[in-house]
Amino acid sequence: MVGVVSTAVSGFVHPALFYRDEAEYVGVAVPFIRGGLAAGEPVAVAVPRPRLRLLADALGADARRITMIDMSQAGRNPGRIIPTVLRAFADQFPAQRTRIVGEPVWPGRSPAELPACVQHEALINFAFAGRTLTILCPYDVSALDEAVVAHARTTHPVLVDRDASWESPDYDPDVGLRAGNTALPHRPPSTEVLFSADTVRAARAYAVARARRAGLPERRVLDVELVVSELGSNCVAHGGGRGSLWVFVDDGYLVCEVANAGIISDPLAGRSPVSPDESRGRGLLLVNQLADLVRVHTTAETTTVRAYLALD
Amino acid sequence: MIDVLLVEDDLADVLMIEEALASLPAPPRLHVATDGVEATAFLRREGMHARAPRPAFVLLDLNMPRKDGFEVLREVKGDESLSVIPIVVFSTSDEPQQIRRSYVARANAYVVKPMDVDDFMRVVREIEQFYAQIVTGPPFPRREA
Repeated sequence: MVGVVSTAVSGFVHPALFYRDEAEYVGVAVPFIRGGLAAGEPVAVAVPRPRLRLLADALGADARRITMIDMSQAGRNPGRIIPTVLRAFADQFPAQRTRIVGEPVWPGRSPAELPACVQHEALINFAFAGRTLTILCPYDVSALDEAVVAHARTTHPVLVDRDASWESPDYDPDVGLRAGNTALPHRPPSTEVLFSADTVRAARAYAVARARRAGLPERRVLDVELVVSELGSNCVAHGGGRGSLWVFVDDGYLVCEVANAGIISDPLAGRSPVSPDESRGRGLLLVNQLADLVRVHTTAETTTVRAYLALD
Repeated sequence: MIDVLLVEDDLADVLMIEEALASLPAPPRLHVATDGVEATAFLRREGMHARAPRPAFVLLDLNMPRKDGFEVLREVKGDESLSVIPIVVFSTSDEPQQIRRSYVARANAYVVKPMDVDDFMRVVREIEQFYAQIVTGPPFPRREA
């Protein structure tokens, strides 16, 4: 035991750290990081920028021995944290135990983002099952909504505070998966564009035109083109050959929504890195990279994917 | 709120029609098919369109890839369950032969697309207002509405 976070176990450990202030944050995270360094384990810290600064100050020279990632940028879309942040780091060290401080939920996350965060936290348990690493996830319980903290109890098998570590009696990652797969927020009145393999290009052209009209920066219009292209191709290939597209503005985002008659059966779809020699599995992964938020709702009949791109 | 099916492959026209309808006090729900195949799949509620609403009217362009407007007219008007849906042909063509052919195929109206943008927008709004406020549309069984 180094600090309150137990690392004397093999396999995957996924504790949530419930902290109330900066002292508690540093008081648990720094011994966890230093314990990893002392054990010769590669360590990464992926937290929002203000917390990065806090930990860097507390670690002093040790800060240069760890990988630091601004989660508010790299993990703005929770759907890309597993492939782009967590696995991108852990996969570099297949033969070594690694440690990551990963803070995907922070005060200021929007109501649209939170279900995706819960889903992400639940999926970590499946994505890293059997791996040898510890991912410590800090939660600011003084500022986060109680419902968010309650979800953290279901998505983390172990809970930690400044004094102790204990098994979560509420741990059930399936609850988190269901919470992330809730019906999407009401769509404002908008045009439905019907498409199939022969007309997906027309749907893409419509999305691009709407993106420009909505004022999306030109550098991101290409992102819209790629997002609709990938989602449209998925519909054609796996969604019964047809799909519908809606493009609308919602709360500072341009939103591209695509629905089809397919069902996503793999909850980790779009979150697993794809090797260069694999020809499939890139579509949703690419959408997760390009969009600022991706929400997916799968029912027994249809799948709806909503990709959000910030207008500013 | 009414539903309108627009069958149109010209993106500029789609955007203008969308803008014209969005400017109405009570805009309709617009569904766009960019060719006749998508249009008939939507009207026949095929696959993912199983719960598609019945449009108050169809605004139909004639010149489209794969399945053109005349084929759509023939199919819809030849299908007993769909034939009552009003279809307004909305085309750039003012050739009498095209107009006659459309009415023979049982188009409910034929409107030539105005060249002037303001006129174009006004005509679209007036077509919608006619079907939304003046016309009593065909009744559909409740589950189909």
